[in-house]
Formats: sequence, structure tokens, C-alpha cells
Amino acid sequence: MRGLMRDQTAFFFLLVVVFSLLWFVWPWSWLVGVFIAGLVFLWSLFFASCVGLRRGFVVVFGLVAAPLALAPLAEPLFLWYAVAPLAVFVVLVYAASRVYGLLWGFLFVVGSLWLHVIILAAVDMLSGGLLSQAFNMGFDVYVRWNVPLIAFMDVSSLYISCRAIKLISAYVKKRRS
Amino acid sequence: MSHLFDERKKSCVFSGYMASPKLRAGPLAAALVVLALFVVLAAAQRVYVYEVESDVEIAEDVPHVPDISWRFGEQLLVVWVPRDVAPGIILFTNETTPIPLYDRTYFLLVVPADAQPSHRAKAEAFLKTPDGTYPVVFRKPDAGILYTTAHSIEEALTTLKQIGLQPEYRGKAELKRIDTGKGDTDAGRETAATPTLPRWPTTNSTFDVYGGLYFRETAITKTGLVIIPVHGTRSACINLPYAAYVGYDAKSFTLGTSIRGGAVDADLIVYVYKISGGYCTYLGSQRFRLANRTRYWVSLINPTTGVDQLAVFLMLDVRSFSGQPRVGVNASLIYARTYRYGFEVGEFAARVAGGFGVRREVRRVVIGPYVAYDGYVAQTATSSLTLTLATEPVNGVCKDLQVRFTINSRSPSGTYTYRGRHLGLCIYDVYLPNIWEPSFQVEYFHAKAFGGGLAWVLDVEYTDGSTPYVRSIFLRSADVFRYWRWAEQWKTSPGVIEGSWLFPFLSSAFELYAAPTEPIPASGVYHGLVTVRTNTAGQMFRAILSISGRYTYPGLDRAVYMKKAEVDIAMPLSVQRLYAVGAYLMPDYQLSSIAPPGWVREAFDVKRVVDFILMLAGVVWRVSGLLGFATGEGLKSAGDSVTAQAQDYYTARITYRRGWYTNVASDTIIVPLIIPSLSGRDTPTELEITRICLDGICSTPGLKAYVQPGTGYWSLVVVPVKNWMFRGQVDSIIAYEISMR
Repeated sequence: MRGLMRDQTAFFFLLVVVFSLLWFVWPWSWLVGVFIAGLVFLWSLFFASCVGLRRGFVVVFGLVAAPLALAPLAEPLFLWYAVAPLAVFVVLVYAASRVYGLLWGFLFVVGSLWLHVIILAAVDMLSGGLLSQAFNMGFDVYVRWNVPLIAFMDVSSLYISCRAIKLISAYVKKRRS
Repeated sequence: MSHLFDERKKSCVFSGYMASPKLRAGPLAAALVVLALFVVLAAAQRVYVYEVESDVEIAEDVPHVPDISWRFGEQLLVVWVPRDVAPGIILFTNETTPIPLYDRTYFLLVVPADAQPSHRAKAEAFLKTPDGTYPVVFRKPDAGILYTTAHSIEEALTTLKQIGLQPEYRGKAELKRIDTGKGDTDAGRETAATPTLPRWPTTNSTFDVYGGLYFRETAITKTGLVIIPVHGTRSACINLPYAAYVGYDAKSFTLGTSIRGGAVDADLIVYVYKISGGYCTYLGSQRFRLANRTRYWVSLINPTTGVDQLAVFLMLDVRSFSGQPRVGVNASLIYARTYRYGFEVGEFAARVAGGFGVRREVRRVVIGPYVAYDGYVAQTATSSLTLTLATEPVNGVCKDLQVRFTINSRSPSGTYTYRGRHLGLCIYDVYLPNIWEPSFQVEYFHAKAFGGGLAWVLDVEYTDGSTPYVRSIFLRSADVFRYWRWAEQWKTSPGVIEGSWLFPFLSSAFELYAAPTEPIPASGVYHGLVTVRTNTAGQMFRAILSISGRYTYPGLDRAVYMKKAEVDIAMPLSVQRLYAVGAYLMPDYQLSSIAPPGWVREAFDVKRVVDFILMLAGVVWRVSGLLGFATGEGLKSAGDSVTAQAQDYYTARITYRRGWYTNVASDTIIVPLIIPSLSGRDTPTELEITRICLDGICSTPGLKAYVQPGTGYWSLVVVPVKNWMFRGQVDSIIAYEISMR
């Protein structure tokens, strides 16, 4: 456990998975916004921790996620549901650029995402389309298994892809030096 | 109202009442009321009341004693009282309450004390009383009163006093048919085969079709004439407001009454009119003494007068009242109908599903009530009620359980004995092999007259007479009631369809009660309703679904509205390009379009741009996995939606989802469908509801509805009035004006 706590990425991995399991009992009401905000917040921290998380980003990701929870109270904030992925993406690229420089930081984020998408596609193929089915189901008031499954598969594949990109970048850095 | 008075002048029907004395306010009025009461009491006729055991089931034909003469002619009054009252459970409210069991062979008979029967008269039965024996014949009531109902003998005596009689209870009596071979018995019911309905009626076959008319409950605030208006906004005729449309080929007409909140001494007057060219012409009237929970037979509406289009108009002539009485009147009708074109008949199916915790001693189990839908086609009722009863063993053994099935705790449909399986508890697999159709008809006709529904009431006891301790009841998904239903009271003629068929009213309906989990006290029970109406050619929407669903929590006085519904519609045509729009039916009967909230719609537009940018960034599959999924689906599911999606070439699934952000206060949605493949058809098209899932409770009802062909018929214009209804009156020119996006 102590090792886990030391490994921030694994810690947030666990948080995302556990939080997503709450979906099984989450009420179908305005609180769904809170769930989405929580998931986005924890997912962002998870990915950022892989890049190299600084304390300040916790606040930034909190600010990015908060409007998702608050949208039911102020309807225009629903626009943020459209913009939030881009905002998270930009913050992640910024976070990575602090570590790797702008170009390499950008490539790190995009590369990780690409690779995790490829892993997910492979898992989907091997599982006979289970993942596609889970995605297609969307948020359903009565069918709840898909969200925890997607969360688990997504963070698992992202964990692997992020580690892999890190290794590749270390290897490239080593070769260049 | 001016039309009404015009009508009065025309027909002179009301002339007597216009001249009737009016009471003036003040002490004089009080004195007159006292005087009137005194006169009524002084004139009260002495009657004997007998508690009768009969071997004849009384329904629409009631006992008469030939050659007697009193204010009800030769007729004896029938008063239903419960045979017994025992603890029971109403499954759908999880409520334990004493439930009376009535019996059509047990009732009170009211005989004038001075009756001198003729012993030469030809009798069908004999009434043996402590005061003598009376010959009895059965026919429709001379005085119009079919029967009245009371909770007890004492209440019955009070009711009789209210209608100006002076009753005296004289003990038990016996009514015995001379030829006992004609009687219906439970044994006969047990051996009756389940009716095997043809798949669909053949052209030119004729049916008895049952329907109802509904009148507004009316508060009595004055003496004299009081109009009882029909429900809805349209009268059956131009010159007479508040008249109810009866239509063609009405064979039999009865009225049921209820009086709440006070007492009223009044006559109920029924005026019958013939409609021609939209105007009502007076045919005749009948006057009855108003009594609570009483059913009247209106002989003026019969196969002879029914050849015309008829209308009725109701009034009360109030002599006196006390308290704040409200009088409710409903009517039940039987029509003769001919199936000509292949689209006039739909279906009604009532279902139940789920497990119910009982944990108490019960003698009666109530399953229902379900809506007694207008348009029931006689001889088509079926039931395959199937349930598993778990009881506590008695001294370690499972006694045989006897179950008597009755409809509405009144008309029996067989008694069966079941052997229990000992599995810790005693498990009884209870199955009703058939419904006794005559009982169903009687109860349906009764229910329509009182605006009531239909329920199975199971009388359960061990064969030794003891009461079982029931742990739970599990109901399998099967038809509780199922019958064909005529889409309208409008008739079809050879080569001509009346204009009102252009907008058919309810054609097929599915009603569901379910307990999704075993309830604890005050837990929820689900009630759902799906209807399919079909429209004629030329209309944009050829079929209109209405879907309702709600959990109710009886103990908490709380309801939770439907969140998701799926309805699969199959047809022998392509469902490609089938399109659905949706609207909520609001409590004020207005429609409110189902569409995402404004900012959610804007967000979709922005999202398209953002997704494009993210796609350029190289993240193409679902944007970025969980992140894109959570925000995208969160946005998509925030608002309400109705979608239609082809499942295969012949089947489309209509899906409704309530958004997590929206909270529209309605449990009903209306979904008009555009079905392009129906255009140009020259034969009726069968639509079948193959699957219904309401809030995750799924059934496969196989419910059929028929869409009219597009061509080949003349149309006849009639007054655009419709009386049959569910959730309010709807007239035939309702238009589904729902904006399409």
C-alpha cells in the first residue's frame, strides 16, 4: 500500500476505478453532473500524475471540472461539457511541456492517448466488441455496468501507454544524448 | 344554454318543470322542506326485506312478482350486500383491509308488505319467505332499478328509507328456480374450455361491443332542476349543450350513481334524443328515484330506437338535500357492431409481474383494478393468471389450498384446489385455466356504469376452512385480462366510413402493474400503460403511441415518474425512415415537446467544433476515451429524448429517456410516428407491439393494432364528438401538432 501511495499514478488509477464503481448506485438526478465532474477531475489527475503532477494542477483540474457539476444550477455552463475535454487536453499538454518542453510534451500527451486508443481498440476486437457496446450504451438510467468497465479499461490502457511513451522518450533522450 | 331553452320550447319536455313551484329562501322554505319530508314519510310504503339465498344468479334480469302493483310495478328491488367480509390484501397498494365478497346468488329482496301475488301466474321461480310464497319471473326492471348496493343490511335499510320506503327486515328467504337444470355452477365453470379465439375476426361478423359514457360529478346546491353535464367540451348536438353522444345501434343502456358528501332526495331524469343533421330531436324521457350506488336500466334506448344516432341528456329534479352532496353518474352501453374493413378492432392486454411480500393471514387477494377499457368485444375475454403462493406450513404439513376466483369480488370464475409442495414453505402453483366469460361481461357492464375498473379477487382458504398465513405471492408475467376492443363507438357501413374514423380514438392498449422487487410496507408499485392509436391516410402521423409509467409509494404518498421506456413495433413492411417525435402530456392535458434544453442544444454545436479540433490533434476514437465519453454522454443524457431505431427490416424500437437534468412533471409521453412505408396501401396494415420495457420491466405482449388503408372508401361526415376516453374527454378533431426537429 505504501508503495502504491508512492506511485501517484497507481493511486489515482485506483481512485478512478473505485469512484466509477459508485455509478452503480448514483441517483439519476442533477447529481449526475457531480459524478461526471468527479470522474473528469480524477481522470485528469491520473493522467497528469503520469506526466509529472505538481500540486498547482490539482487546483487547475478542479477548476476545469467544477463547471460540469454546477451546470444544472446555471444552464449556460452546459457549454463546458463541450469545451472541457479540450481544456483538459490543453492543461495536460501544458503540464507535459513543463517536463518535456512544448513539442515533446505535446507529443507525449498525444502519443499516450493514441497508444491507449490502439490498446482499447485491440481489447475491443479481442472481446468481440464488448467495449464498443459499452461505449454505445452511453449513460443509461438502468444499465450501469458499462461506465465502471470503460473507466477501468481506459485508465488501464492509459497507464500502460503512458508508461510505454515514457520509456520510449527516455530511450530517445538517451540515444540523443 | 340558450340552445337548451330553445330545446325546451321545441320539445315541451321541460314544460312541466318550468311550471313547477320554486322554493323561496327563508323560513317559508324551511317550513316547506319540513312539510315535504312529513308528506314523504307519511306516504312511505311499508316493505318487507328478505335475506335471500338463490339458485338463480341475478344480473340484468331481475325478479318480478306477476300481478302485484306498487310504485315499482311488478318488480322486487334487489339490494346487494356482502356474503362475508374477510381480511385481504390489495397487492398493488400492499394494503391489508377487510374485503367483502358479494355473490350473485345472495342478496336482499324488497317486497311490498301488502303484495297479493296471483298464484295462477306462470312462474320461473318461487320466493319462499316466512310470510308466504311468491311466484317470480325474471326480466328487465319495470321501474328501471336494476339493483342497489350496500355494505351491510343496516345500510341497505337506510338507503331504502332514503328512497321513501318503510322497510322491515323479515329474515331469510329462498329463491328457487323451477327448472334447476339451467343454473350456472362453479362446476360448470371449471369444465368450461378456454375460449380459443380466431386469430382475427372475419369480415361481416357481428359483435356485441361494450362502452361507457361519462358525466361530470355535480354538486347539489339548490333544489329544482340541475343539469348533469357530459364530460368534455362538446355536446352531441348543436341545439342542446351538455348532451352525451350515444351513437348508432345502441342495444342496452344503464346508468350507475354515486352520492358523496351528503344526502339528496331527487329524481334522475334521462332525456333521449335522435340526432339528425347535428340537431337533437326529442324521443322520450324516463324518470328514476335517485339512490346511492344504484344502477338503472333505460329502456328507451333499445335495438328499435338504436337504429338512429342517439344522444342523452341528464338532469336531476332535486326535492331536498342535506350536507354538500355531489352526484356522480356514469353509463354503460352495449352496441351491435359489424366488422367490415379489417381495422376496427384492437386489443387490450393487462399484465402483472413481480413478487409481493404479504406476511400475514389473508383470505382475499386483490389483483387490480385495471382500467375497464371502452370497446370490449363480447366473447373475446381471456386470462392466464398464473401465480405462486408461499404459505407457512401448518404443523409441518402443507394443507390443500382452495382458491375461488371472482371478478370484482362479485362474479365467480371457478373454484380450484391446489396441492402444496413442501420446500420449507408450502408452495402452491395457482393457475386459472379459463375465464368465465358471462361473469366478465356482467362485471364489465357493471364497472362501466360506476366508472370503475376490473380486478381479480382470489378467495383463498385451506380445504378445512382455515385461513392461510401467506408469506409471499409471485406473479408470473401473463395476461391478467385480455380482450379485443372496438376502436370507436362509430359504426361502419358497407362502402362508407364515418368521418370520425379519420381520427380514431384509442385502439390498442397495454396496462401493467409490477412490483420490481419484493416490497416492504410503503414500498413502490409500478403502474404502466402503453396505447397505440392509428390514424387514417393523409395524416402525417399514422400511428400515435402514448406511454405512461410511474412508481407509486402508497405509504409515502409519493410518485416517481417514468425514466425510460422502450417499445418495439413490428409491421409486415419496411421500417426504414420511420420517424418519431415526442411530447409530454402535461397534467392540464397540454402537450409539451420533448427536446434538449436550449443550452444543451448549443453545447452540441460547440462540441462538434471541439471534437474536430481534438480529432486534428490525433485523438480520433471517442475523442479521448473516458474523458470524451463522460462529458459527451453526460451532455447527451442531460435532456429528454425520444428516438426511433430500426432493429431489423420489420421492427423499429422507440426509446424514451428522461434526462438527468430535466424534471418535467409528467408521467406520460405522446409519440406520433411517421411511417413512410404505409403510404399507398390498399389493405389494412397490422402493427404489432412485440416488446415493451417500462423502466426496465419488460413484457412481450404481442399487442396488435390495425392501420386503415389509404384508399377505397367513401367518408361520411358526422358530428365530431367522441365520448370514450381515458384520462379525459377527447374529441375527434384533436391534432397532434408537435414540432419536428
